[in-house]
Amino acid sequence: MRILFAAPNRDLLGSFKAILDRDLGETVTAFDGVQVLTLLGEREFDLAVLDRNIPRVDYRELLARVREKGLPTVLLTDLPMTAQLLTEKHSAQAYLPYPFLPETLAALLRDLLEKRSSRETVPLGEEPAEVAAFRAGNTELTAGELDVLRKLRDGEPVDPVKEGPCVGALNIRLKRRRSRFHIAYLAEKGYKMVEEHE
Amino acid sequence: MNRAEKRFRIYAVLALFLLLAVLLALINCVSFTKAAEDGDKVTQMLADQHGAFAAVSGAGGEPWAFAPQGRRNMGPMGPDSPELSASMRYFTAAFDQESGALGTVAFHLSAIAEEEAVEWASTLLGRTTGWTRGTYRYRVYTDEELTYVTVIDQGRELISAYRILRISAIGLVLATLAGWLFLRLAGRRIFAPLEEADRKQQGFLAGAEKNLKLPLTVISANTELIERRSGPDEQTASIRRQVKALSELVEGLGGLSLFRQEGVCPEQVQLADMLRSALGGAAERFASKGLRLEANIPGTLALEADRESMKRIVDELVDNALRYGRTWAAFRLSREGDRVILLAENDTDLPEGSVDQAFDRFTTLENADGGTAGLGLAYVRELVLAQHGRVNAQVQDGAFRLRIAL
Repeated sequence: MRILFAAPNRDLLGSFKAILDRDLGETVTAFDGVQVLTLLGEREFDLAVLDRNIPRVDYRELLARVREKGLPTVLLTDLPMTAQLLTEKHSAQAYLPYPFLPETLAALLRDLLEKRSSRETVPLGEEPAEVAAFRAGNTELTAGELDVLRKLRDGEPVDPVKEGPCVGALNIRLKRRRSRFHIAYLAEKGYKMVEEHE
Repeated sequence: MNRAEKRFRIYAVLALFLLLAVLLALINCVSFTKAAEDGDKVTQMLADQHGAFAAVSGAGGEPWAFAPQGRRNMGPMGPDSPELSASMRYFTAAFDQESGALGTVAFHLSAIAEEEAVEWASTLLGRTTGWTRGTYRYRVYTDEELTYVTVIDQGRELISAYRILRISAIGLVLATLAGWLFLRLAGRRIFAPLEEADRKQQGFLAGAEKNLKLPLTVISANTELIERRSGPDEQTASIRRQVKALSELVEGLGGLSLFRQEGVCPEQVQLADMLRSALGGAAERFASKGLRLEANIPGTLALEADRESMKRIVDELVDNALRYGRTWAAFRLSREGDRVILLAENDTDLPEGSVDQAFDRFTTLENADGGTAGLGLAYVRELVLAQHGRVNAQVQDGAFRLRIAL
């Protein structure tokens, strides 16, 4: 496996390259957006980790380019996780706010790889979402949102604290699609996907 | 800052209004009191002359047509004016204890008939002095045999008093409006330096927070690498603890600055579940500290609020209880009318009273386990106020009580 890791800090790149090389696979580092574009053109990757504050090229353009390559991407951000962040126009498949532990990033990357090779679908309202493609029709979804959809399908409890932003993001996406479904909290039942009149 | 500016404008205009209102009320009080005093002086003069002005007469006993030579008073009419007896509109009615009304001693009014005047005077018996029918001043007095009621018309004197009152009211409104306009126009200039200072502070917080996050991640990663090479030891454990403490500080700083940039996004938040989840997650930490945890949380309670803010408030309250609780901590969630009340309590050695200074930045009221930057409750207050809620803290019966109303 080959990972593209782009961040504007050489110490960060060096430390995480050493860890990810051992834990997951070859990690190729990039210090700025131009390097990222160059590397994307020259080599094949399985995963990408991008810092939102990468210099020289806007992170949104980089996200669009890695999406063209079909790479699941983790976006490192200095912003807190909110539904608004998750539903940005050019979104990544996962977000990781600073500061984070190496094992957290490694677990997230493993999860993205697992999802990428999954054949599972989960319902997003009326439409099925393909887990491997991180989308339902034209709607892009993050890994966290797919986990929430799976839990809703299987009747498992959704954590309002940890998974609250994902629930909020899913409701925003359902509203944008003008779906008749939304995720509501029902007394003693927890979060459920319900139709408008319920 | 806009809110502070608005509040300043409101309070400043209110202060101006109250100041002017007091001043003008004083002036008008003096004005009306003077009219009453002048009226009392005249009625006393009449009382001294048995209810009627003595005719002004010359040496031959004939009434003067003009003022005596050498005496010229062209000043304003008042109780001391020699024109008073000629110009005063008044009447005096006499009453006998046995036979009742005897008629008028003097009658110099054209507004009413004499009989009506006597009837009017009879309604004033039993009193001493005062105003009657708005602009008339009266006095009731007795000699050995009869009771007299003198009523004088103070309308002319009161005209100027009412004029002053009208002008005062109009002036008060205009001055208040002028003050408001001035503050609107000059407010920007007054607050510009404060806004600049606030912007710089926010910029510093945001910059400090951003510049700390990445290095903390690097330190965590390198600590991991050291432990992989040489195994975990006391020093790497210490590094992890310090990184964790710094991360919490950074989160607090970041929340204070980023929150102001992003604002609130209300949505349905299941607060009961959120609180239960946070307490459930911290149960082990409470147990390891030997803290008895009480939670009174309804099955379900939702409110329209910013999810991220509520999560941070709840996390901070739980952390606060863990830091400062001695033997117990309690959380209560309830609804009072249209407000949701979240109460967090823990035992404390602090003295009784309000401890709202706990919400000041970089302020800690007592030593916390593990140390703290003193930002947590400052953060909570900002989040609560941004959602139009109220928060206060006090110490009562050995318990620190933090009450949030949303």
